[in-house]
Amino acid sequence: MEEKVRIVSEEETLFEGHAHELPFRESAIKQKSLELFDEEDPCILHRSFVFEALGDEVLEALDELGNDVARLDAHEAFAKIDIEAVEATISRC
Amino acid sequence: MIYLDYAATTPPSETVIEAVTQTLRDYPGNPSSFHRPGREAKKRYQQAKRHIATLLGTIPERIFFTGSGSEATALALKGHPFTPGETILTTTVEHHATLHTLEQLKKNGIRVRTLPCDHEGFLPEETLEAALAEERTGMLSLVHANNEIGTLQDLKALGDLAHAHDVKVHADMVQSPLHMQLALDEMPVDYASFSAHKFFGPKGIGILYARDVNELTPLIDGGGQEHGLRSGTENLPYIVGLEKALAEAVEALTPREAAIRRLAKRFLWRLEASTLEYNLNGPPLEKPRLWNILNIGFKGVDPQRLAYKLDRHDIAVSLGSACSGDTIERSHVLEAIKAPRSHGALRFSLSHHESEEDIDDVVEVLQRLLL
Ligand SMILES: Cc1ncc(COP(=O)(O)O)c(C=O)c1O
Repeated sequence: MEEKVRIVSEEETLFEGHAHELPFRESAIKQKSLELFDEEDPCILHRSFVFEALGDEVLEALDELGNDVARLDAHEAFAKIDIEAVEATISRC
Repeated sequence: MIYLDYAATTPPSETVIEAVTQTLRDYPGNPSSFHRPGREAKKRYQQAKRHIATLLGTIPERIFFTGSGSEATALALKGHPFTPGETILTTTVEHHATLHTLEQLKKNGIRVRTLPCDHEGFLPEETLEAALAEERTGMLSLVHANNEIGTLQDLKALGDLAHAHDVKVHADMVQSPLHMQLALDEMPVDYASFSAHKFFGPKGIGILYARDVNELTPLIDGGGQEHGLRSGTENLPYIVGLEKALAEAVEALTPREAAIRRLAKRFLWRLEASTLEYNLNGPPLEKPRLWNILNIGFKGVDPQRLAYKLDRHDIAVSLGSACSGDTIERSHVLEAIKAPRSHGALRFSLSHHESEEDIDDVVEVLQRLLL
């Protein structure tokens, strides 16, 4: 059931963990929460649901791209991750 | 969609929807008006109240409509005339409607003592007896059928004990009507709360059963409806919806309950036959309990994640937790019965609508997700 991802930039690991634990941008959280609950400021329980959904989007984007490693600017689902780094890549691990 | 969250709410049956819409259309009058539409509405209201009273084993004078189960509980607890220094006894496994109302009362200087339940959620008679001996008690407020773990309290024994000490009894019976025939006037209860949306009726309509209305102070004043206990023009369509749902629940009690028991047994049997490491929170099936509420802990599992994944598989269940400010708090009921923290708990609440295949599908999905 566990689906982990790794984000790397210039050989440095910036994130490694479950997709739903990724640092998502507040704007993306708000947007997803509006989509799911019509609620801008979700309670902590709904917020955790939003993170699951955003994490799933990342995993689905990786599947869609079909490569083992993808550039962080290769899919709009990755743009929701709050990590700015040069030449960053994301992969399952 | 496999909906297994009937303890949260039940969808109104088609006949209930029909009864509500028909009443909206056919009874536009205000039951307090003297003219014909008013009189017609009043008659329909009286008819519904008489029928509901009969179905619950009481008389119409003891039935008061409210806007929810929570309101019924608030009316009983806040409306009862406690004398200074009296204590309200309650338990650790109550619904928030009771616990939070009691918190409010505490702020107003009323003493509240919360009695511990055993690891299956039962309030032991000895615990109540000891508290009654120690405290000058005004009321015992107790959830009859627990909405999280299904525990069915021995209301007869506990209520009789309270009455022997001249203590009033409020029973939160919100989860009870679907699963047993109630004869309120024969039970040791002075107040009881009900909510239609827990038995396939509309949301936003409840009942307070009160043995002696003259004791209560209303929470809402105005036109004096509900014998002055709850002002506001009566919600006749929902009252009729409640009547219809309750009549169906009573009429179909035996086959519905038999179906639920078959499904509950199958669910646990399928879990047992799987490789899943799980535990049943609350009483085992042999003990007094609601069979439709199965609170299951899965070893090492994050319940939020699992509930999310199940939702993606179109399976609706409930979490054993709630948000409290910035943290997700495990349910106070699971805490009270010391359910193992190593196991992430989900509540699967069944109805007669599901098939054995549905149950098999759910266990198969669980198996796949938790592999
Ligand atoms: C045991 C119990 N008491 C009270 C309530 C509150 O009922 P309502 O939703 O009608 O306010 C519920 C519903 O969740 C319940 O399960």
